[in-house]
Amino acid sequence: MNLDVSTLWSQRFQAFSRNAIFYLGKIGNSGFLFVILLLFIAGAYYYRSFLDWLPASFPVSLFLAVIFGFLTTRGGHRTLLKPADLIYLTPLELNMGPYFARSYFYNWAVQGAGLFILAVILNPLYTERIYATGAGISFWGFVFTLLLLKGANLFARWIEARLHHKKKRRILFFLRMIASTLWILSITSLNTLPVSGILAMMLTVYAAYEGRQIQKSHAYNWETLIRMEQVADARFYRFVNQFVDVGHLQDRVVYRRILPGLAEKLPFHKTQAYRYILIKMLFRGGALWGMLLRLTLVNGLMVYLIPDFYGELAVYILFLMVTGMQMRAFWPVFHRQFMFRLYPLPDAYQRSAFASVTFTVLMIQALFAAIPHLFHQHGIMEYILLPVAGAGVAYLYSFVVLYRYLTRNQQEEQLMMYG
Amino acid sequence: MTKILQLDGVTGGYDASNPIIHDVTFDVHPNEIVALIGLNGAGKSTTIKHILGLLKPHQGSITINGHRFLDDPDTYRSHYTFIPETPVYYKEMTLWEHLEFTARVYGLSRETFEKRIHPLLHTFRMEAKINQFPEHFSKGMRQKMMIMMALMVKPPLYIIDEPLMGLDPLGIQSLLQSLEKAKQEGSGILMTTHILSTAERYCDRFIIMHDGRIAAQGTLSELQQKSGNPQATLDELYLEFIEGRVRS
Repeated sequence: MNLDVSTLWSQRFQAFSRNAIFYLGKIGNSGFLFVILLLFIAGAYYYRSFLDWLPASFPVSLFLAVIFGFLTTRGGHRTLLKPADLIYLTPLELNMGPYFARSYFYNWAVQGAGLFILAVILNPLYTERIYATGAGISFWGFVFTLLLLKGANLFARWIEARLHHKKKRRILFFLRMIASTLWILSITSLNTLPVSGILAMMLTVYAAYEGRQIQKSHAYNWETLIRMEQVADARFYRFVNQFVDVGHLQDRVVYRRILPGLAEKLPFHKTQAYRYILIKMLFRGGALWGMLLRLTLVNGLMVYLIPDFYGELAVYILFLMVTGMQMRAFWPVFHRQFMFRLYPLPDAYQRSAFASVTFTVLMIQALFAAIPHLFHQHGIMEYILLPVAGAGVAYLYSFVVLYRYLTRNQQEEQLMMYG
Repeated sequence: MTKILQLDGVTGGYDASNPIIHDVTFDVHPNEIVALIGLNGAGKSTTIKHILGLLKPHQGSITINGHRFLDDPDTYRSHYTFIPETPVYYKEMTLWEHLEFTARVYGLSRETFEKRIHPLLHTFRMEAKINQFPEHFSKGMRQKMMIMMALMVKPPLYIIDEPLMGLDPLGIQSLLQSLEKAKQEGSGILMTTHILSTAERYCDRFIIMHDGRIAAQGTLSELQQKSGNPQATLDELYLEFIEGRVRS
């Protein structure tokens, strides 16, 4: 009996969509979406003044080319493959075409939609600075090109996945990124077309040739494909976890030495044990650390960009709150470690470690993001008010709001375990 | 003689209406290694979970050095270390950091930690791995990490689930020697295993579990007497008891 791989894809896709819709629904219900909406409205409000402020000499075309060059190039494949497929589907390797074709179009659609949304957001900038000045083609032509580039890059990425050499894959990624950037540059800045267009064409022809060679000499690299699926899955759950508790997060670990080394400075004492491990987890768990870093940088940037004090203050506090919520989302990952249940330490140590580390994270952001505030023309009161408000929010959130939540959470779990 | 671990008529499991172990009574003394043996599903792991304090007995009581879990969980837990069958590790921490963290958890001083850990790293030939992540270790190496973490603490009681699986022959030898040493120093050790020939050589007493009950327990010669076969090996005794030919 032959397995129909198209049906297999449809079945998996249905299961996947059900799951995704379930979680997206939960996100819709969480109050966090409201925060995004607020940011969106604030963004729309300041967009006009941002456009007016942006100097005419700003290289919009280069800016767009670099951003979209990167975004069209990056992005892996969701194949909905499962680890067990390594055993059960590999015998069907030669018949997998229809399955992978479907997954290809799915990825193109989803990633294309993301590009489309971003492009629409940037439409006023594009139309005003690129199209109206005659520098480049129309907005819809631009969008069409982005989608084409996405499709081509995804196809190339699919072929490159056959390669085992990480280094070669990186080189090809880099080449594709340059080619994509040049393509976008040539349509948004038509006077560069003779140079950038020809270069882009040459790189594309080379990439196509290289792709043919790889296809001829390499079979599917199942392990890479499965890993790519897992990465995509982890990313999805990480995203969801920012709104609702997912529980089974698989996070990638990045080996950093210096910052996690701070934990070694803690006194060698039972009370500090959870603080020790939390600091290690925080700095090495790729996703959360990156998120905290981004939130801190963006907070500083917003404080810098927003001209009036109260707008500044509102966004500043909002970002601190969002950062606090990010930390809170990490709590289940932290305290549900199996071995924690065997350690001769009171549960309260987990809470106090978590609250105090959260406080430190928020304080660092509060201080850092207050620096750009000094560049604005304000009265002395305003200079002081912002960081003081930040410190107040950090303290209240960590030691009151969060700590209460952690206590309740642990009591409930205790009750479930021991009755 | 004082008992380190005492189980008294313990009936328990995950669900009160469906007990998995029934009326389990046994003890572990200082200076002895006790083997808990039985087929897959005999109730060994459930028994261990009860001892660890992860499950609450439906009936009966468990004490470690006279302490009951619910009276004071932290004191209770500070009297044992546990080596699980499947190594558990934190993917964000290196081998060395695992060891240091464990030392902190059990309240060891930095000096005690450093003094104890280097000989262990040497014994288990893991010195070169201290800055690596267990994520990249083989199962045997992860198991060695768990073993070192448990041994470093020098608790009164060791609870060890299937310690020999995945270890290389040198690792097995190092572990057994280390356990022997811990035993000499006054600890009690409870371990489950399927490798009966090793158990026969290293363990002082045996508890044979079957279908959630204790089918037989005693020293090798006591079990041989019960079976009426003074020459029987542990393998033979084990099969005999679990097949129910001998009622104890």
